[in-house]
Amino acid sequence: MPDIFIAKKESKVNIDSSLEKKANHHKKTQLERDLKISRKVSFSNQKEDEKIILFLRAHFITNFPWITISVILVIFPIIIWVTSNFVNISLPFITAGLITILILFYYLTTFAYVLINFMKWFYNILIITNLGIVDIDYSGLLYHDVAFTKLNLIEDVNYIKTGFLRSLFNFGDVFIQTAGGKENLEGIGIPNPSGVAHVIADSIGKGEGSG
Amino acid sequence: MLSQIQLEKEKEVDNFNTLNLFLNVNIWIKIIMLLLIFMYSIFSFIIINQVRAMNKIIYIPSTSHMLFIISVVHLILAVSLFLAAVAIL
Repeated sequence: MPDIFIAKKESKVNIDSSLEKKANHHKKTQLERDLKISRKVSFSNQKEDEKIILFLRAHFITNFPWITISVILVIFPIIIWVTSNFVNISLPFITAGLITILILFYYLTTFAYVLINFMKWFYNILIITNLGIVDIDYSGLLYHDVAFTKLNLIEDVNYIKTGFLRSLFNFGDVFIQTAGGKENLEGIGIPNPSGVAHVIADSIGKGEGSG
Repeated sequence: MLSQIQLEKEKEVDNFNTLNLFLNVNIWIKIIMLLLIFMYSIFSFIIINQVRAMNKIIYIPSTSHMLFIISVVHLILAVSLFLAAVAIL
């Protein structure tokens, strides 16, 4: 007797390939690069069958302000040294040893400034897997926030790309709304936000536990 | 009687020296600098802990290791600066 209804097998496995196809479809070099990186990355609470589809962090150009400040900070003592040759200021309590320590301390603090800002960029990550989304927010030395959401809890995704720089370098903010009560996830300054939004939108409602 | 007067004079000189030392700018600069660098060393230790904690959350091959090594070098530099300040200032 022929079957009237045959239940389809779980679509969990297909999500990975379909999203990869979707990402390939957009053929954006940044997305391809993200896919390449994602194969080597692992995160805490990652399940055995969980595969990373997209590994996203802010566009490198978003580092421009702090890199500029760092360059100014590095040059600043040299400017002071050059100008001090023309101006004769004599303070008896400033010794050569003190100047040496002050300069070394200054450059060490500048180094820390660079390190912390790099960490802020490096550890602000949005990961899209075949089972869910992981949002890692790192906004300072004393604060970091990690949010995990299953794909079937995602309700909506949208992106914003405003401004000259964002249009020029093709980066923007991606916002992911989750089912009531749960916190919303966001990726700030993500490269190719439209491609990412499409990949996420394609996976809405899929994943573990979906009908 | 004479020796008692001499002792009192010596005490006064001692007090004056202590006061002079207390008002000496160099001493205060040295104390402030050492305190600052000491606080900075603690801060660099916090950076190491943060890098270690973040590497547990997300592991990116090679880069995670590199960042940890950089933060350790940063701590070593901070401690070295503190020791140099103790010796030089």
